[in-house]
Amino acid sequence: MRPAFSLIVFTCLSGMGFGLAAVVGLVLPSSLLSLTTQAVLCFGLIGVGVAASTLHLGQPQRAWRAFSQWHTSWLSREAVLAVFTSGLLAVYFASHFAPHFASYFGDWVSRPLALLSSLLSAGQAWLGWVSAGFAVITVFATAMIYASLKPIALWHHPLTPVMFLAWALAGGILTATSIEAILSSTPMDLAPLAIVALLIAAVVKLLWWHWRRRCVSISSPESATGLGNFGAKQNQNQSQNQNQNQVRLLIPPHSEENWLQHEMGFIVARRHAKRLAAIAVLFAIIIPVIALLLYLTTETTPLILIPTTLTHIIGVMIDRWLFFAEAKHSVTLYYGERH
Amino acid sequence: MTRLPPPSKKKLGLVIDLDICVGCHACVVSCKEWNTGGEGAPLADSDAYGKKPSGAWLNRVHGFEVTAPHSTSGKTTPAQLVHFPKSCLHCEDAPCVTVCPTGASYKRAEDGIVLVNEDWCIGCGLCAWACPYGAREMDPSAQVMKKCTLCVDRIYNHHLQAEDQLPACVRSCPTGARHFGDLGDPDSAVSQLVEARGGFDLMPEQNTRPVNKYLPPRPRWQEGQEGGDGDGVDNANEIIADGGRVDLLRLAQNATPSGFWQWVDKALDVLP
Repeated sequence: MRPAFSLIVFTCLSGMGFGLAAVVGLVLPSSLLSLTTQAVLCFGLIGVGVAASTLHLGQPQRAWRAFSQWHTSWLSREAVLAVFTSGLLAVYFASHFAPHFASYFGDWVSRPLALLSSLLSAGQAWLGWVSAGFAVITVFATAMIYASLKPIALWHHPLTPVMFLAWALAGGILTATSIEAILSSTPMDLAPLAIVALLIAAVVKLLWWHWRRRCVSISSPESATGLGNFGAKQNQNQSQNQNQNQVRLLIPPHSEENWLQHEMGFIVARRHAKRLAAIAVLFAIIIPVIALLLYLTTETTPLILIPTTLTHIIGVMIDRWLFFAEAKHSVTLYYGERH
Repeated sequence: MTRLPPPSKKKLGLVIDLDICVGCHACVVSCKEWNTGGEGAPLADSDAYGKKPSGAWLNRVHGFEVTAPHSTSGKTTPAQLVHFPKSCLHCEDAPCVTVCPTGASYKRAEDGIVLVNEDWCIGCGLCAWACPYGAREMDPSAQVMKKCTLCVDRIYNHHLQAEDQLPACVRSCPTGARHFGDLGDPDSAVSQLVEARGGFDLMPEQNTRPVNKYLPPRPRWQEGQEGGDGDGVDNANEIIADGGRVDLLRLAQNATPSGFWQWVDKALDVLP
C-alpha cells in the first residue's frame, strides 16, 4: 500500500500521544512543570497526528462527516474515540491544573475553578484510569482500520492491533520518562518500566514480522480471475492444486499506471525491507534502551533522553513506512503480481 | 448508510461471458463516455494528452494468459488468452460500504446497487482499500471516489428508448458478451444463463458474495495437446519487454523512483 506521509505521521504521532495519555492517566507526574509539559505534548502529538490524517483526504472540509458511521466503520470509530478521549483528557488535566492556577485569577475565574477541582478531586484517580483506558481503545481503533481490511493479508491479523498498542505505549512511557527525568526535581523512576515496554514492543514486532511476512494471501491470480479451473476435466486423476490452470497478466488494461496501482503497488521500501526493519528497530528500540540504561546506571545527564525520544519517533516512522509499503493488496493480482 | 441493508429480493447485476469477449474495450470506452457526460461530476483524466496520462475509469479490460497442466507430460497446454472485463461486482457483503466513515458509500435496499454519494465522500480512499477487486478509483480532479453505478441513470430512465435502458457497457458490447438483469430472480434470463454455463464468483474466499457473475471460457487447447516449455520466453513480462512496448513490471510495481526516493533507494543500497 502507498505509504502516504500523512498516514505515517497520523498513526505514529497520535499513537504516541495516546500512549503518553495512557501513562499520564495511570501515573500522575510528580511536578506541575512535568504535568504541564506532558499535557502539552499529549495534545500536541494527538493534534498534529489528527491534523495530518485530514491532509490525506480528498475533501478535508467534509471531515466532520466521518463521525457518523461508528456502528460499522473503524475509521469513524477512531475519529469519535479520538475526540471523546481528548475531551476526557482535557477534564482530567483541568482537574489537576485548577487548584494550581486558581490563585492567579480574580474571583470570577478562581471560584468556578475551585468548584470544578473540588467536584473532580474525588474522582481524579478514577478519571485518570478511564482516560487511560479510552486512550488504549483509541489506539486499538486506529490499528483496526488496517487490521480489518481482508484484501490486505499482511495486516489482517489480531496481532496487528497488539503491535500498534505495544509501540504506542512504549513511545508514551519513553516520553513520560524523559519529561519526568528532565523537569522534575524528584523524578519518578519510570526508566526501568520504559526499558521493559520497549523490549515488549520489540518482541511483539519481531513476532509480527515472523508470522505476517510468511502469510500467504488467500487469493491468487487464479481465484481473482476465476480462471483456475475451466477445462480441467482432462486431469481428473490429479489433485486439485496440480490440476489448476496457471493465470498471469499478459495485456494490462491501459498503457500507463492508474490510481489503483499508484495506491496499492509500491516497491522502493519492499526492496530494502530487511535493512529498513533493522534501522527501525535500532532507532525505535535499541538506541533508546541503551540510552535509558546509561541514564539509569551512570551519571549521564537526563538531557540525553530528548534526542533519544526523537530517535525513537524516527524509528517508529520508518517502521510504519514499512508497514504500509510491505502490505500487498489483492487488487495487484489483476496487475501481474503473485503474492 | 454504511450499515448494509437486509438482502434485497432484487439483485441487479452483470453476467460477463469470458468465452465471447474479444477484448475490444468498447464497454470501457462507452462506460467512460456515459459517466463523464451524465448527471454527476465528470469522470476526470489528468494530463490526458501529456507524458503521464492518468484517469478514473469504472470498467477496465485485462488480458490474462492461461495455461493448464498437461495430463501426462508434466508440461503445460498451449497458452490461451482470456479477455477479462472488470468493474464493480455490487457485492452482497460489500466491504467498501461498511468501512466508509461518512455514509457516502451505500448499497441500495431496493435493488442492491452499490453507489457513492459524491457530495458526502471525503476522499479518504478506505473503501478502495477494503475492496478486493479494485472496483473503485479516486477521481483525480473531483477528489472523491468513483465507481460503477450499474448506470442507475440509464436503467430507470424512461426518457431513453427501451433498448437503451441498459448499462452503457451492455448496450455497446458488439459481441453480446455482457448481460444485465436481476440475479435475485432464479427465473430471470441472466440467472438461467449462470445456471446453464456454470457462472462463478471472483475471489469467493474474500466472502464478499458478488452479485455479478462470470461465465467460463471453453478451453482452446485440444485434448493431449502440449504447449512445451516455450521458445526461451518463459514469462509474460519478457514477451512484452521484447516487443519494446510496455514494461509490465514497471507498470505493476512502480519500480522507478525519482528525486528523494531515488536518493533513499541508493543510500539504502550502500548498507550491508
